[in-house]
Amino acid sequence: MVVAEYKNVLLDMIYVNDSKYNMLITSSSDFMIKGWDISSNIPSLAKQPENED
Amino acid sequence: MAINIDKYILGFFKDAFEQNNSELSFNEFMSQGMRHLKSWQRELKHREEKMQQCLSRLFAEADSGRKGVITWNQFNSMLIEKGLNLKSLRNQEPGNTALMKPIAVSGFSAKHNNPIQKMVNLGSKIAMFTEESNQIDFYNVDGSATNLKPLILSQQSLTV
Repeated sequence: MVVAEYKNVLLDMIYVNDSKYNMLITSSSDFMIKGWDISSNIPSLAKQPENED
Repeated sequence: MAINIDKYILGFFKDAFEQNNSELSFNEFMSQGMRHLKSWQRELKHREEKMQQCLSRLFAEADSGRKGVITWNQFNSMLIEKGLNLKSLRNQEPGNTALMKPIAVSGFSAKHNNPIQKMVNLGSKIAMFTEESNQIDFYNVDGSATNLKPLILSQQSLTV
């Protein structure tokens, strides 16, 4: 049963303009930071880039 | 930081000038200003010090001859001149200035229902969202339509 709903709103975003990432990063009121792949017509969650270390 | 001399405050200054043979020394001017600008920026830190700086600047602008005394005509003329300068600045269209020119894009325009909170440059596109929104919209910078669909954050529900 759904007891409460809240509106998850955008707080900020940056675009990482690097060929390795090319990712739109958003922060939102649900405490999440997400990376988005916007290279296709439909934005989707980006894959975590592999760490080079 | 500036002091807004409205008609009410101007009236007090005019009375003060009239009671002092139409001229005020620096100290008299400061004293009148401090006395009648009681409602100025009440929440400001170091308010009195900043008010003194503003009044002092006003006095110096009116006292062009550096005599340490200004007349009502000098003070009033200075205010009129400042007002006219401000008005001309406000009326100046950004496109007419040398430093600010409109970007020549072919009809880029997007109307939203809420104030725009953030825009970022994606290279050939712009991403933006409005206040209290969970949706990012995309636009091509040349004004043409983009195929990229809006990015919508999912809403969370608290369930039991």
